[in-house]
Amino acid sequence: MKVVLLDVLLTLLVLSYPLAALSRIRWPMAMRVGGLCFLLALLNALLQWLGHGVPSHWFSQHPASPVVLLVVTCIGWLVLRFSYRYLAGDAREEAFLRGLQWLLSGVVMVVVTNHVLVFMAGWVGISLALHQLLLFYPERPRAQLAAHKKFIFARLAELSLGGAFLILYLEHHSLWLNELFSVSGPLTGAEKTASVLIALAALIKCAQLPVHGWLIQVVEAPTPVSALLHAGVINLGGYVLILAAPLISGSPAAQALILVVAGTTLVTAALAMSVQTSVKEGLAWSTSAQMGLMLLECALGFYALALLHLVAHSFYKAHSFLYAGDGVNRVLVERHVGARMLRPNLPVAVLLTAILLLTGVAPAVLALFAPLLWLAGAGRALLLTGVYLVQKSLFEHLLPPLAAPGWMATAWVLCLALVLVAGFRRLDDRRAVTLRHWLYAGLFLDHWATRATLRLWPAPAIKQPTCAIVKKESLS
Amino acid sequence: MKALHNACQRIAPAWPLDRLIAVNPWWPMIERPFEEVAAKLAALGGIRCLMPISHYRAQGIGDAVLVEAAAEAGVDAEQVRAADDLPAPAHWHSLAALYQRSNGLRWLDMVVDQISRCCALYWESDGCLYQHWLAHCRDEKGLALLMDCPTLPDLLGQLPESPERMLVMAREALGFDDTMAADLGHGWLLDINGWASAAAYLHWQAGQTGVTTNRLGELLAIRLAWEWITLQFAGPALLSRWQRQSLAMMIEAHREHQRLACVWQRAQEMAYQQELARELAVQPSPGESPRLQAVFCIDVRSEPMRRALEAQDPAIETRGFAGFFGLPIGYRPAGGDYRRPQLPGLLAPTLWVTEAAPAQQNQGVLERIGRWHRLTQASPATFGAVESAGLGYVFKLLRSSLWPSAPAPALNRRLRDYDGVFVLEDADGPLDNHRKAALVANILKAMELTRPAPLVLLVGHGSTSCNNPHAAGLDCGACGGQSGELNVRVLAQLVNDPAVRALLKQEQGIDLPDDCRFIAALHDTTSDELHCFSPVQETVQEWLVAASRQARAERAPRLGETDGESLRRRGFDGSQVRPEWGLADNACFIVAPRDRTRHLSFDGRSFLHDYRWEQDEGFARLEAILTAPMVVTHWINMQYNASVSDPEHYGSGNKILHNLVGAVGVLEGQGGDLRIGLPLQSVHDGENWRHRPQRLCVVVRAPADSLQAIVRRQPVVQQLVDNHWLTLLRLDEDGCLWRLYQGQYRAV
Repeated sequence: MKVVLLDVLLTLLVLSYPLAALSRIRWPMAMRVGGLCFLLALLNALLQWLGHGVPSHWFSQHPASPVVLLVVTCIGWLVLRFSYRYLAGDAREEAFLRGLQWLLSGVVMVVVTNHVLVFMAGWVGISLALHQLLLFYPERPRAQLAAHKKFIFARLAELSLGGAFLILYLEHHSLWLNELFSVSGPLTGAEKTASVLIALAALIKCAQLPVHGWLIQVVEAPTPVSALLHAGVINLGGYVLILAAPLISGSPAAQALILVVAGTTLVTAALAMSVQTSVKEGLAWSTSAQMGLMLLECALGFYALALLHLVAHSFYKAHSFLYAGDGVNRVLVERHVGARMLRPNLPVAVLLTAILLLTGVAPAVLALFAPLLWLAGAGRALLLTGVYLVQKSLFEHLLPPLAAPGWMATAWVLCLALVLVAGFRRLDDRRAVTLRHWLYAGLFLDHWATRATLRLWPAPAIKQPTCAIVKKESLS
Repeated sequence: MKALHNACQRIAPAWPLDRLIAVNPWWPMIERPFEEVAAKLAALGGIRCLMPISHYRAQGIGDAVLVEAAAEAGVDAEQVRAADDLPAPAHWHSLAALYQRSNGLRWLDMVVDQISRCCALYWESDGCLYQHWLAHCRDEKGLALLMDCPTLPDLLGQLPESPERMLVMAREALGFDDTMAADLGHGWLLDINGWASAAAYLHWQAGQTGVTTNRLGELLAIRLAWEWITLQFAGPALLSRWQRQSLAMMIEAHREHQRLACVWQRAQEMAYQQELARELAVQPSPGESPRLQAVFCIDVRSEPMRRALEAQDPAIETRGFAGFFGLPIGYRPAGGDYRRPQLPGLLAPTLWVTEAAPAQQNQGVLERIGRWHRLTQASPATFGAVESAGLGYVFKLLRSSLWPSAPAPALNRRLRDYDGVFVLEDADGPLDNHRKAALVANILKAMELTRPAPLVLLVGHGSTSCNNPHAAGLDCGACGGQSGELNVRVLAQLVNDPAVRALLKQEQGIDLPDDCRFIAALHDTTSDELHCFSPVQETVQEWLVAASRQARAERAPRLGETDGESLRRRGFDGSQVRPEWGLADNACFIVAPRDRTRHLSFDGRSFLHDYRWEQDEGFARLEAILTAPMVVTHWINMQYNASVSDPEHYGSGNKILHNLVGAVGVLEGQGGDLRIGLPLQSVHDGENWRHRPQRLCVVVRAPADSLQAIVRRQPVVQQLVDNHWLTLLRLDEDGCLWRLYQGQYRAV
């Protein structure tokens, strides 16, 4: 009974956005559809957690699925509501609505399904819908460049993921994701290759260095597109890793790849974020760094924390992007209260870190959490620690930890944390001019990536901007 | 090099976003006629100061007016009637604009992008911007890669260390002489007009505070450094092609091209002025002695509210006065370093206002907000911060979307919550009562309120909008881009102080009756609500509520709403890109007693300033009005005109792509030049322009010879009038309008 109910709910969810897009409904109706999807996701989560229901094998039975579904439908609904007035008066606001709906259809499909072909269809659909939204103002040359780069990297990620699925299919002869990702005993060579390919796809999808450039340039698209991208779409790389957890935990090569790439991204992007001058670019670098942390947590085996980070980051980034216009007031408050606002408190930080170690938090996780306790000041550090522990235990209830990381991985993470703190201290020094310049340009990795892509796949002739004024038939 | 520095003086300042006011972007060029400036700017940078002919045709201008305007300009009326939009002639290009390498982005775009990034990084730092730029470029290993020029680092190494030497080097390499230098320098600066205007603001500030700065010169040196580098890549062939451009011929061609459009523009203004003349010809009946006087700002948005308030009772009189109410103050919130001026941008504050006894918990709130944001920006702490507190943002998102509440920026909320006394200080310390009495006396005389009604409302204005980088542009321009709340509260406090009143009577000869009260109030222009800061009687409160309702009902159709009540919460929505229309469609400035205009409806297009020449000794007040409020209204008018006629150069672009750079300005998208001026959504509703570009029409009720004398005496006013930047009309006792031009009066 519960199975049937859940199946109906989830089928409705998967069909809502595509039907809405195809039937060309208008904004007020579309916002209601978004709200309906959020409600359905809420019911789904309640049925699965409180009612202990499990959907049929057509839909994902992974415990992370209802969580990510909730996040995605909530943010989708809020972005639709926001875009209604934000895009008002634009000549192509209906096209924008359809683009948003197709994007959300793809995301919901990826999160909800258990069939590999539906998964890949959703994945590709997301990329195509995003391409249309990025080129919402096609006459902008930087948007054309960003869309071109994203096109190439998205195809690479799809090839990688598709290749991994092909290998797994040949291993397991099944089209169901839960069976493809299941593991019995030590991994075969083919499975290890598949896990490396999955890790590669996740790294590309989550805009890790050096393929992070398109994320920075996506700010050429309207704000709601950025919000949805950073909050709902980019974290699907982490979602794939969480689904493929058994494979990743058994493959040291995949873990090593993620640890190195995501680790260096984490440090570089976090330092670059603090020297950016425009609000949206700072947020884009921040996303790259936060995704690095999420992937790192996956590689270390802390899938519950990765899921927590996915959820927390989505809401934080969605809010930051949508309400980025309030930045002027924030600057004024900073001017009033003074430049040196942070009050580092080392003794309290050490104390809290020791307590956390004793309660069983892994050293690798603590290495990246402890700097917050140091910089936040006594009261706030205590509050944040408490909240963190509560959330951690909730998510670990959902996704029990698999295996503890090895000492090399932990040492690597400790190393990263030290470099991060050292870089932070160095940037405070006014004489660190060269370091600031290099970080401002993101260590030039994107420049190299742009030239490489343009040389291998030349961009179509970039159309030069004309003086386009918005013109529209009717004011809705 | 003097000539190149003259070019720097041709860029008008652009105020930063936290104190955004409207500026005439062509202010440094008012000593030349408008038509000449329009032709020159079109030739230099393809800038449009006039609208296309199709726009004028759509205004429905009568044929008689067209013939009259053609006759005034000495142009054949048939030609004007048959005029059509032809493609504009070529304009001057810099070397970087002519040069193109093979790959994607235009070379000039990449150059401007690079300069913009460097400016954004070093704008708040001291030191020479040019040297910072040089260090930045030399460190940027990827620049050569991005622009696909491997020899770039060598060329950067050859650049001199000082901006002056760079200007000399560029001059020798590009081969231009002093006669052309000023114009060419202006053209080069127009390529980075946004940052140049922000630099001009720094020069303006420096002029007021006595500090020296050379930011514009350094910016020009950076721009010329790129010209020199481009020359090394481009080679002598492109250089000779660049040198062959004749600016003089281009100016002539553009002048010819714009001849007919100028006539159409003048015809549009004439049609408006003739309509105005017909309306003002009706003689009104005199009003009765008022029980309530409300002093509003001269802002165009006050006009509908004033009409609505006056409609409630014949004993209500409203007046117009500059929104800072004569107080030359700045605000310095207690407990911190922040300070901001609360007076027009033309002036610098001489007095500073601070709270006498601020509440301590408000300071704590500010520190908490600031510290949390700094924590999420600090590289090591950001991970833990997002991971632990990120989930909490879902409540903020849901609340902002489903149950939005009134936005309250932290510093303004603190001011609103404070209900104590304000302290005025200048360089010597707090003001004593004698100086306060002198200040109040001057203000009351200027407002002609030496014998006020029993209740006087001082109504400042401000706007409410959420998630809006250009929010300050909707606030009171006379208060430096802030809400007028502080000014009215301080003035009310000063006038109601018994000690000050006693000194007013003894020393200044102004006897205010004991029952006369001054109440500070705020007109929220987004929701059209009148909020009083002290309790008022029931009847007065009812008047205010009824007036608000009427004003909203009148404004609702303009925003696409059927019912005025939805306007009350329009400013709460963070996704609303058009919270109100601001000063769009402003057209005239009337300096006359309210009696002359009380019976008319200007549809929110008119600035209204009260003035009675009979009570003005030596016409000193008229002179003050023509040199200060008239300049402010002219700036507002020209800013809106420029944002409509040339949105690429003088408009901020599309709001949904805006990307904040600190509090200096916005970028449209990821890179490019800083954008100045009004965003597209502030002047366009998706179908039509909401502002019809028209040069300001100033109507003054004053004796003929006094007006002529003031115009002759004040060079700025004379330039504005005689160079066609605005039209000065005189309203005589019979209600006829006469245009003052070149010292002569003509009938309208």
